Amino acid sequence: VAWHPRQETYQLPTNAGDKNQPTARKTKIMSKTIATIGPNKWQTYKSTIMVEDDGRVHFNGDMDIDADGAYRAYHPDNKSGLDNLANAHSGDNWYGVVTVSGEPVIQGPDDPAPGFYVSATSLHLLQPDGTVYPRTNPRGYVDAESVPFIVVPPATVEGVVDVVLGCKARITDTRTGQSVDCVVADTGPKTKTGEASIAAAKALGVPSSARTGGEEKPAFTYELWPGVPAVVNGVTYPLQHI
Amino acid sequence: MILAPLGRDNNTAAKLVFYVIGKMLAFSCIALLANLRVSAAEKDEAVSAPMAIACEVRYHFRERIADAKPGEKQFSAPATEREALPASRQVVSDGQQAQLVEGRVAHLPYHRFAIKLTRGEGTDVGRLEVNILDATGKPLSGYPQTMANPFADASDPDGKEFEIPITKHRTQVIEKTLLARNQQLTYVALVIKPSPLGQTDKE
Repeated sequence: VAWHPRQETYQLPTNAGDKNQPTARKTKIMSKTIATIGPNKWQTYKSTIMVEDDGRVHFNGDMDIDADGAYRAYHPDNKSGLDNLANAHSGDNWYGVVTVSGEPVIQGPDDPAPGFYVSATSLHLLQPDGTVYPRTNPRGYVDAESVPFIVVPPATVEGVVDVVLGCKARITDTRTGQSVDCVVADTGPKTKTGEASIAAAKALGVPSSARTGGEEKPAFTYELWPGVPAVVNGVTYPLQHI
Repeated sequence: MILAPLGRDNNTAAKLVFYVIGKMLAFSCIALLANLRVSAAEKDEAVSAPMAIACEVRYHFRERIADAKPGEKQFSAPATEREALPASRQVVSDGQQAQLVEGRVAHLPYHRFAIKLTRGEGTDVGRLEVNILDATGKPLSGYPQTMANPFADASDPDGKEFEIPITKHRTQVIEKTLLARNQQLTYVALVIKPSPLGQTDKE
Protein backbone atom coordinates (compact mmCIF):
# COMPACT_ATOMS: atom_id res chain seq x y z
CA VAL A 1 0.00 0.00 0.00
CA ALA A 2 1.41 3.35 -1.02
CA TRP A 3 0.68 5.96 1.60
CA HIS A 4 0.40 9.66 0.95
CA PRO A 5 -0.90 10.93 4.27
CA ARG A 6 -2.35 14.40 4.11
CA GLN A 7 -0.81 15.06 0.73
CA GLU A 8 -2.63 18.01 -0.74
CA THR A 9 -3.67 18.25 -4.35
CA TYR A 10 -5.56 21.03 -5.99
CA GLN A 11 -8.28 20.85 -8.58
CA LEU A 12 -8.64 24.14 -10.38
CA PRO A 13 -11.93 25.14 -11.95
CA THR A 14 -12.11 24.84 -15.71
CA ASN A 15 -11.72 28.59 -16.13
CA ALA A 16 -8.57 28.71 -14.02
CA GLY A 17 -6.36 29.70 -16.95
CA ASP A 18 -8.58 32.59 -18.00
CA LYS A 19 -6.89 35.90 -17.07
CA ASN A 20 -10.27 37.62 -17.24
CA GLN A 21 -11.39 35.50 -14.31
CA PRO A 22 -9.16 36.79 -11.48
CA THR A 23 -11.19 35.02 -8.81
CA ALA A 24 -10.67 31.62 -10.34
CA ARG A 25 -7.71 30.64 -8.21
CA LYS A 26 -9.43 31.82 -5.05
CA THR A 27 -12.26 29.33 -5.59
CA LYS A 28 -10.03 26.31 -6.04
CA ILE A 29 -11.27 23.11 -4.50
CA MET A 30 -8.95 21.23 -2.19
CA SER A 31 -8.76 17.48 -2.00
CA LYS A 32 -6.55 15.30 0.10
CA THR A 33 -5.34 11.85 -0.80
CA ILE A 34 -5.82 9.57 2.19
CA ALA A 35 -4.29 6.49 0.61
CA THR A 36 -3.58 4.85 -2.71
CA ILE A 37 -4.16 1.12 -3.08
CA GLY A 38 -2.81 -0.73 -6.10
CA PRO A 39 -1.88 -1.57 -8.68
CA ASN A 40 -0.05 -4.36 -6.91
CA LYS A 41 -0.21 -8.11 -6.61
CA TRP A 42 -3.43 -7.83 -4.64
CA GLN A 43 -5.29 -5.36 -6.78
CA THR A 44 -4.79 -4.90 -10.52
CA TYR A 45 -6.03 -1.31 -10.65
CA LYS A 46 -5.16 1.90 -8.85
CA SER A 47 -7.64 3.16 -6.29
CA THR A 48 -7.09 6.55 -4.70
CA ILE A 49 -9.03 7.27 -1.53
CA MET A 50 -9.64 11.00 -1.43
CA VAL A 51 -11.38 13.40 0.91
CA GLU A 52 -12.86 16.62 -0.41
CA ASP A 53 -12.95 19.86 1.54
CA ASP A 54 -16.64 19.32 2.27
CA GLY A 55 -15.72 16.07 4.06
CA ARG A 56 -16.91 13.68 1.37
CA VAL A 57 -14.61 10.67 0.93
CA HIS A 58 -14.57 8.75 -2.34
CA PHE A 59 -12.70 6.02 -4.14
CA ASN A 60 -13.22 3.65 -7.04
CA GLY A 61 -13.32 -0.11 -6.75
CA ASP A 62 -14.61 -3.44 -7.95
CA MET A 63 -17.20 -5.29 -5.87
CA ASP A 64 -16.74 -8.27 -3.61
CA ILE A 65 -19.87 -9.45 -1.82
CA ASP A 66 -20.10 -9.47 1.97
CA ALA A 67 -22.65 -11.69 3.71
CA ASP A 68 -21.40 -10.88 7.22
CA GLY A 69 -24.15 -9.60 9.47
CA ALA A 70 -26.85 -11.43 7.49
CA TYR A 71 -29.10 -13.54 9.68
CA ARG A 72 -28.66 -16.40 7.21
CA ALA A 73 -24.93 -15.86 6.50
CA TYR A 74 -23.58 -19.15 7.86
CA HIS A 75 -25.19 -22.46 8.73
CA PRO A 76 -23.66 -25.59 10.24
CA ASP A 77 -24.69 -27.65 7.18
CA ASN A 78 -22.69 -25.34 4.85
CA LYS A 79 -25.52 -25.51 2.31
CA SER A 80 -28.24 -23.32 3.74
CA GLY A 81 -25.94 -20.38 4.46
CA LEU A 82 -25.51 -17.47 2.07
CA ASP A 83 -21.74 -17.81 2.35
CA ASN A 84 -19.43 -20.79 2.53
CA LEU A 85 -18.88 -21.92 6.12
CA ALA A 86 -15.15 -22.08 5.38
CA ASN A 87 -15.26 -18.27 5.43
CA ALA A 88 -16.31 -18.48 9.07
CA HIS A 89 -13.83 -20.87 10.59
CA SER A 90 -10.83 -23.11 10.22
CA GLY A 91 -11.15 -26.07 12.53
CA ASP A 92 -11.85 -24.74 16.01
CA ASN A 93 -10.67 -21.27 15.07
CA TRP A 94 -13.81 -19.21 14.41
CA TYR A 95 -13.33 -15.84 12.78
CA GLY A 96 -16.52 -15.16 10.89
CA VAL A 97 -19.14 -15.65 13.57
CA VAL A 98 -19.75 -14.61 17.17
CA THR A 99 -18.30 -16.98 19.75
CA VAL A 100 -18.65 -17.48 23.48
CA SER A 101 -15.74 -19.27 25.13
CA GLY A 102 -14.53 -20.26 21.68
CA GLU A 103 -17.82 -21.86 20.66
CA PRO A 104 -19.89 -20.36 17.82
CA VAL A 105 -23.29 -19.00 18.82
CA ILE A 106 -26.29 -20.52 17.04
CA GLN A 107 -29.51 -18.53 16.77
CA GLY A 108 -32.37 -19.71 18.95
CA PRO A 109 -36.11 -19.99 18.24
CA ASP A 110 -36.75 -16.29 18.95
CA ASP A 111 -33.99 -15.10 16.66
CA PRO A 112 -34.50 -14.13 12.99
CA ALA A 113 -32.95 -17.32 11.56
CA PRO A 114 -33.01 -20.19 14.06
CA GLY A 115 -30.27 -22.72 13.47
CA PHE A 116 -27.93 -20.29 11.69
CA TYR A 117 -24.79 -18.90 13.31
CA VAL A 118 -24.74 -15.32 14.58
CA SER A 119 -22.66 -13.34 12.10
CA ALA A 120 -21.25 -9.92 12.94
CA THR A 121 -20.49 -6.65 11.21
CA SER A 122 -18.06 -4.13 12.64
CA LEU A 123 -21.01 -1.78 13.18
CA HIS A 124 -23.08 -2.63 16.25
CA LEU A 125 -26.69 -1.50 16.30
CA LEU A 126 -28.61 0.02 19.18
CA GLN A 127 -31.72 -1.29 20.89
CA PRO A 128 -34.81 0.95 21.03
CA ASP A 129 -33.70 2.14 24.48
CA GLY A 130 -30.43 3.40 23.01
CA THR A 131 -28.19 0.74 24.51
CA VAL A 132 -26.07 -1.58 22.40
CA TYR A 133 -27.53 -5.03 21.71
CA PRO A 134 -25.80 -7.92 23.52
CA ARG A 135 -23.05 -9.19 21.21
CA THR A 136 -24.74 -12.59 20.85
CA ASN A 137 -27.96 -11.05 19.50
CA PRO A 138 -28.06 -11.24 15.65
CA ARG A 139 -30.24 -8.11 15.56
CA GLY A 140 -27.27 -6.18 16.86
CA TYR A 141 -25.56 -6.34 13.47
CA VAL A 142 -26.43 -5.02 10.02
CA ASP A 143 -28.28 -7.61 7.95
CA ALA A 144 -26.30 -7.87 4.70
CA GLU A 145 -29.24 -9.51 2.99
CA SER A 146 -31.67 -6.63 3.47
CA VAL A 147 -29.55 -3.53 4.15
CA PRO A 148 -27.34 -1.96 1.47
CA PHE A 149 -23.98 -1.31 3.10
CA ILE A 150 -20.41 -0.81 2.06
CA VAL A 151 -17.19 -2.23 3.42
CA VAL A 152 -14.25 0.16 3.67
CA PRO A 153 -10.51 -0.49 3.92
CA PRO A 154 -8.95 0.50 7.29
CA ALA A 155 -7.13 3.42 5.63
CA THR A 156 -10.49 5.12 5.14
CA VAL A 157 -11.31 4.95 8.84
CA GLU A 158 -7.82 5.97 9.92
CA GLY A 159 -7.49 8.77 7.37
CA VAL A 160 -10.36 11.02 8.42
CA VAL A 161 -11.22 12.77 11.67
CA ASP A 162 -14.96 12.14 11.68
CA VAL A 163 -16.59 8.80 12.40
CA VAL A 164 -16.86 6.46 9.41
CA LEU A 165 -18.71 3.40 10.77
CA GLY A 166 -22.43 4.08 10.54
CA CYS A 167 -22.04 7.08 8.26
CA LYS A 168 -23.94 7.87 5.08
CA ALA A 169 -22.56 6.25 1.92
CA ARG A 170 -23.44 5.70 -1.70
CA ILE A 171 -22.30 3.36 -4.46
CA THR A 172 -22.62 4.36 -8.10
CA ASP A 173 -22.17 1.99 -11.02
CA THR A 174 -20.27 4.21 -13.46
CA ARG A 175 -21.40 2.07 -16.41
CA THR A 176 -25.09 2.67 -15.84
CA GLY A 177 -25.16 5.73 -13.58
CA GLN A 178 -27.33 3.74 -11.18
CA SER A 179 -26.65 4.34 -7.49
CA VAL A 180 -27.78 3.05 -4.11
CA ASP A 181 -27.76 4.78 -0.72
CA CYS A 182 -25.88 2.77 1.87
CA VAL A 183 -24.42 2.76 5.36
CA VAL A 184 -20.78 2.01 6.18
CA ALA A 185 -21.14 -1.17 8.23
CA ASP A 186 -17.98 -3.22 7.94
CA THR A 187 -14.23 -3.02 7.43
CA GLY A 188 -12.28 -4.96 4.84
CA PRO A 189 -8.65 -5.85 4.26
CA LYS A 190 -6.05 -3.11 3.78
CA THR A 191 -5.01 -4.30 0.34
CA LYS A 192 -8.33 -3.96 -1.45
CA THR A 193 -11.07 -1.47 -2.17
CA GLY A 194 -14.56 -2.33 -3.29
CA GLU A 195 -16.92 -4.48 -1.25
CA ALA A 196 -20.62 -4.26 -0.56
CA SER A 197 -23.46 -6.17 1.05
CA ILE A 198 -25.71 -8.61 -0.76
CA ALA A 199 -28.53 -6.04 -0.69
CA ALA A 200 -26.35 -3.31 -2.23
CA ALA A 201 -25.27 -5.62 -5.04
CA LYS A 202 -28.88 -6.62 -5.71
CA ALA A 203 -29.95 -2.98 -5.87
CA LEU A 204 -27.34 -2.33 -8.56
CA GLY A 205 -28.07 -5.50 -10.55
CA VAL A 206 -24.68 -7.02 -9.69
CA PRO A 207 -24.54 -10.82 -9.08
CA SER A 208 -25.14 -10.84 -5.35
CA SER A 209 -24.12 -14.30 -4.17
CA ALA A 210 -21.42 -14.15 -1.50
CA ARG A 211 -20.09 -17.45 -2.89
CA THR A 212 -20.01 -16.76 -6.62
CA GLY A 213 -21.15 -13.19 -7.24
CA GLY A 214 -19.46 -9.80 -7.39
CA GLU A 215 -17.88 -7.81 -10.17
CA GLU A 216 -14.19 -7.84 -11.00
CA LYS A 217 -14.16 -4.60 -12.99
CA PRO A 218 -13.46 -1.45 -10.95
CA ALA A 219 -16.63 0.11 -12.25
CA PHE A 220 -17.98 1.52 -9.02
CA THR A 221 -17.57 4.81 -7.20
CA TYR A 222 -17.85 4.53 -3.44
CA GLU A 223 -18.71 7.74 -1.59
CA LEU A 224 -19.09 8.30 2.12
CA TRP A 225 -19.78 11.22 4.37
CA PRO A 226 -17.95 10.65 7.69
CA GLY A 227 -19.77 12.08 10.69
CA VAL A 228 -23.15 12.10 8.93
CA PRO A 229 -25.36 9.25 10.23
CA ALA A 230 -26.75 7.08 7.46
CA VAL A 231 -30.48 6.88 6.92
CA VAL A 232 -31.32 3.82 4.84
CA ASN A 233 -34.86 2.60 4.25
CA GLY A 234 -36.07 4.91 7.02
CA VAL A 235 -33.59 3.57 9.59
CA THR A 236 -31.03 5.94 11.11
CA TYR A 237 -27.75 4.19 11.92
CA PRO A 238 -25.51 5.01 14.88
CA LEU A 239 -22.05 6.46 14.32
CA GLN A 240 -19.47 4.27 15.97
CA HIS A 241 -15.80 4.75 16.74
CA ILE A 242 -13.67 1.70 16.16
CA MET B 1 -53.03 -31.38 -93.12
CA ILE B 2 -50.25 -28.90 -93.07
CA LEU B 3 -50.39 -28.71 -89.33
CA ALA B 4 -49.86 -32.36 -88.79
CA PRO B 5 -46.13 -32.49 -89.46
CA LEU B 6 -45.73 -29.14 -87.80
CA GLY B 7 -47.67 -30.48 -84.88
CA ARG B 8 -45.38 -33.44 -84.71
CA ASP B 9 -42.39 -31.08 -84.70
CA ASN B 10 -44.11 -28.88 -82.14
CA ASN B 11 -44.81 -31.91 -80.05
CA THR B 12 -41.15 -32.96 -80.08
CA ALA B 13 -40.02 -29.44 -79.28
CA ALA B 14 -42.53 -29.17 -76.47
CA LYS B 15 -41.39 -32.50 -75.08
CA LEU B 16 -37.81 -31.26 -75.21
CA VAL B 17 -38.74 -28.03 -73.46
CA PHE B 18 -40.71 -29.89 -70.80
CA TYR B 19 -37.80 -32.32 -70.39
CA VAL B 20 -35.32 -29.50 -69.85
CA ILE B 21 -37.67 -27.64 -67.52
CA GLY B 22 -38.30 -30.83 -65.62
CA LYS B 23 -34.59 -31.48 -65.23
CA MET B 24 -34.03 -27.90 -64.07
CA LEU B 25 -36.87 -28.17 -61.58
CA ALA B 26 -35.49 -31.45 -60.31
CA PHE B 27 -32.02 -29.96 -59.86
CA SER B 28 -33.53 -26.90 -58.18
CA CYS B 29 -35.52 -29.09 -55.81
CA ILE B 30 -32.45 -31.15 -54.97
CA ALA B 31 -30.41 -28.00 -54.41
CA LEU B 32 -33.20 -26.49 -52.31
CA LEU B 33 -33.55 -29.63 -50.23
CA ALA B 34 -29.80 -29.86 -49.76
CA ASN B 35 -29.73 -26.23 -48.75
CA LEU B 36 -32.57 -26.71 -46.28
CA ARG B 37 -30.83 -29.74 -44.85
CA VAL B 38 -27.58 -27.81 -44.32
CA SER B 39 -29.49 -24.93 -42.71
CA ALA B 40 -31.31 -27.36 -40.45
CA ALA B 41 -28.05 -29.05 -39.51
CA GLU B 42 -26.48 -25.69 -38.71
CA LYS B 43 -29.56 -24.76 -36.72
CA ASP B 44 -29.45 -28.06 -34.85
CA GLU B 45 -25.80 -27.47 -34.07
CA ALA B 46 -26.53 -23.98 -32.81
CA VAL B 47 -29.44 -25.25 -30.73
CA SER B 48 -27.54 -28.23 -29.37
CA ALA B 49 -24.37 -26.24 -28.56
CA PRO B 50 -24.34 -25.42 -24.84
CA MET B 51 -23.71 -21.88 -23.66
CA ALA B 52 -20.15 -20.68 -23.23
CA ILE B 53 -18.90 -20.77 -19.65
CA ALA B 54 -16.36 -18.75 -17.69
CA CYS B 55 -14.31 -20.41 -14.96
CA GLU B 56 -12.13 -18.85 -12.29
CA VAL B 57 -10.42 -19.83 -9.08
CA ARG B 58 -11.30 -17.68 -6.09
CA TYR B 59 -9.06 -17.31 -3.07
CA HIS B 60 -11.15 -16.17 -0.11
CA PHE B 61 -9.42 -14.56 2.82
CA ARG B 62 -9.86 -12.42 5.90
CA GLU B 63 -7.53 -10.01 7.64
CA ARG B 64 -7.00 -9.74 11.37
CA ILE B 65 -8.14 -6.29 12.49
CA ALA B 66 -5.31 -4.49 14.21
CA ASP B 67 -6.10 -3.19 17.67
CA ALA B 68 -9.57 -4.80 17.82
CA LYS B 69 -10.89 -4.70 21.37
CA PRO B 70 -12.26 -7.81 23.09
CA GLY B 71 -15.89 -8.37 22.08
CA GLU B 72 -15.44 -6.52 18.81
CA LYS B 73 -15.11 -8.14 15.42
CA GLN B 74 -11.57 -9.50 15.25
CA PHE B 75 -11.38 -10.12 11.51
CA SER B 76 -12.26 -8.07 8.44
CA ALA B 77 -15.10 -8.89 6.10
CA PRO B 78 -14.11 -11.71 3.74
CA ALA B 79 -12.53 -10.65 0.46
CA THR B 80 -11.57 -12.46 -2.71
CA GLU B 81 -8.68 -12.74 -5.15
CA ARG B 82 -9.44 -14.28 -8.54
CA GLU B 83 -7.53 -16.14 -11.25
CA ALA B 84 -9.29 -16.93 -14.50
CA LEU B 85 -9.02 -20.18 -16.39
CA PRO B 86 -8.83 -20.12 -20.22
CA ALA B 87 -12.01 -19.33 -22.17
CA SER B 88 -14.27 -22.26 -22.99
CA ARG B 89 -13.94 -24.02 -26.35
CA GLN B 90 -16.78 -25.54 -28.32
CA VAL B 91 -15.95 -29.18 -29.05
CA VAL B 92 -17.68 -32.38 -30.05
CA SER B 93 -17.42 -34.98 -27.30
CA ASP B 94 -18.99 -38.45 -27.60
CA GLY B 95 -21.03 -37.17 -30.53
CA GLN B 96 -22.39 -34.26 -28.50
CA GLN B 97 -21.67 -30.56 -28.69
CA ALA B 98 -19.87 -29.42 -25.55
CA GLN B 99 -18.12 -26.45 -23.98
CA LEU B 100 -14.73 -27.39 -22.62
CA VAL B 101 -12.40 -25.53 -20.26
CA GLU B 102 -8.96 -26.92 -19.59
CA GLY B 103 -5.99 -25.32 -17.91
CA ARG B 104 -4.16 -24.25 -14.80
CA VAL B 105 -3.83 -21.15 -12.63
CA ALA B 106 -0.64 -19.59 -11.28
CA HIS B 107 -1.24 -20.16 -7.58
CA LEU B 108 -2.28 -23.79 -7.95
CA PRO B 109 0.43 -24.84 -10.44
CA TYR B 110 0.09 -28.54 -9.71
CA HIS B 111 -3.64 -28.67 -10.34
CA ARG B 112 -5.15 -29.24 -13.77
CA PHE B 113 -8.75 -28.28 -14.35
CA ALA B 114 -11.05 -30.00 -16.84
CA ILE B 115 -14.62 -28.74 -17.04
CA LYS B 116 -17.12 -29.91 -19.63
CA LEU B 117 -20.66 -28.71 -20.18
CA THR B 118 -22.83 -30.66 -22.61
CA ARG B 119 -26.33 -29.90 -23.72
CA GLY B 120 -28.82 -32.70 -24.02
CA GLU B 121 -31.67 -33.13 -26.44
CA GLY B 122 -35.36 -32.68 -25.76
CA THR B 123 -36.02 -32.51 -22.05
CA ASP B 124 -32.45 -33.48 -21.17
CA VAL B 125 -30.79 -30.30 -19.84
CA GLY B 126 -27.29 -31.67 -20.33
CA ARG B 127 -24.46 -32.38 -17.92
CA LEU B 128 -21.71 -30.50 -16.17
CA GLU B 129 -18.57 -32.49 -15.49
CA VAL B 130 -15.88 -31.01 -13.25
CA ASN B 131 -12.55 -32.62 -12.63
CA ILE B 132 -9.48 -31.33 -10.85
CA LEU B 133 -6.34 -33.39 -11.15
CA ASP B 134 -3.14 -33.29 -9.13
CA ALA B 135 0.41 -33.40 -10.46
CA THR B 136 0.24 -37.19 -10.92
CA GLY B 137 -2.98 -36.94 -12.92
CA LYS B 138 -5.06 -38.31 -10.04
CA PRO B 139 -8.37 -36.54 -9.31
CA LEU B 140 -8.48 -34.57 -6.06
CA SER B 141 -10.63 -35.90 -3.26
CA GLY B 142 -14.30 -35.42 -4.13
CA TYR B 143 -13.66 -35.24 -7.87
CA PRO B 144 -14.72 -35.79 -10.60
CA GLN B 145 -18.20 -34.38 -10.04
CA THR B 146 -21.00 -34.75 -12.56
CA MET B 147 -24.39 -33.09 -12.34
CA ALA B 148 -27.30 -31.87 -14.40
CA ASN B 149 -26.51 -28.61 -16.20
CA PRO B 150 -27.01 -26.06 -13.39
CA PHE B 151 -27.37 -23.20 -15.87
CA ALA B 152 -30.33 -24.71 -17.73
CA ASP B 153 -32.73 -22.77 -15.53
CA ALA B 154 -32.31 -19.65 -13.44
CA SER B 155 -31.59 -21.51 -10.21
CA ASP B 156 -27.89 -20.61 -10.26
CA PRO B 157 -27.75 -17.23 -12.00
CA ASP B 158 -24.49 -16.24 -10.31
CA GLY B 159 -22.71 -19.50 -11.01
CA LYS B 160 -21.75 -22.69 -9.24
CA GLU B 161 -19.05 -23.05 -6.62
CA PHE B 162 -16.78 -26.07 -6.17
CA GLU B 163 -14.53 -26.07 -3.14
CA ILE B 164 -10.95 -27.10 -3.89
CA PRO B 165 -9.21 -29.10 -1.17
CA ILE B 166 -5.68 -27.81 -0.64
CA THR B 167 -2.91 -28.91 1.67
CA LYS B 168 -1.67 -26.93 4.64
CA HIS B 169 1.60 -26.37 2.82
CA ARG B 170 -0.17 -24.97 -0.26
CA THR B 171 -2.25 -22.74 2.02
CA GLN B 172 0.94 -21.32 3.50
CA VAL B 173 2.45 -20.81 0.04
CA ILE B 174 -0.66 -18.97 -1.17
CA GLU B 175 -0.75 -16.82 1.95
CA LYS B 176 2.90 -15.95 1.42
CA THR B 177 2.70 -15.23 -2.30
CA LEU B 178 -0.82 -13.90 -2.78
CA LEU B 179 -1.85 -12.34 0.52
CA ALA B 180 -0.45 -9.64 2.77
CA ARG B 181 0.63 -9.74 6.39
CA ASN B 182 -2.15 -10.59 8.89
CA GLN B 183 -4.30 -12.04 6.11
CA GLN B 184 -5.32 -15.67 6.17
CA LEU B 185 -6.74 -17.84 3.46
CA THR B 186 -10.16 -19.18 4.39
CA TYR B 187 -10.82 -21.40 1.38
CA VAL B 188 -10.24 -21.81 -2.34
CA ALA B 189 -13.01 -22.54 -4.82
CA LEU B 190 -13.60 -23.00 -8.50
CA VAL B 191 -16.48 -20.87 -9.74
CA ILE B 192 -18.21 -21.73 -13.01
CA LYS B 193 -20.76 -19.39 -14.54
CA PRO B 194 -22.29 -18.61 -17.90
CA SER B 195 -19.84 -16.46 -19.82
CA PRO B 196 -21.02 -12.84 -19.73
CA LEU B 197 -19.65 -12.24 -23.22
CA GLY B 198 -20.60 -15.61 -24.65
CA GLN B 199 -16.92 -16.00 -25.53
CA THR B 200 -16.04 -19.33 -27.00
CA ASP B 201 -13.38 -20.75 -29.26
CA LYS B 202 -14.80 -23.17 -31.82
CA GLU B 203 -12.75 -26.25 -32.65
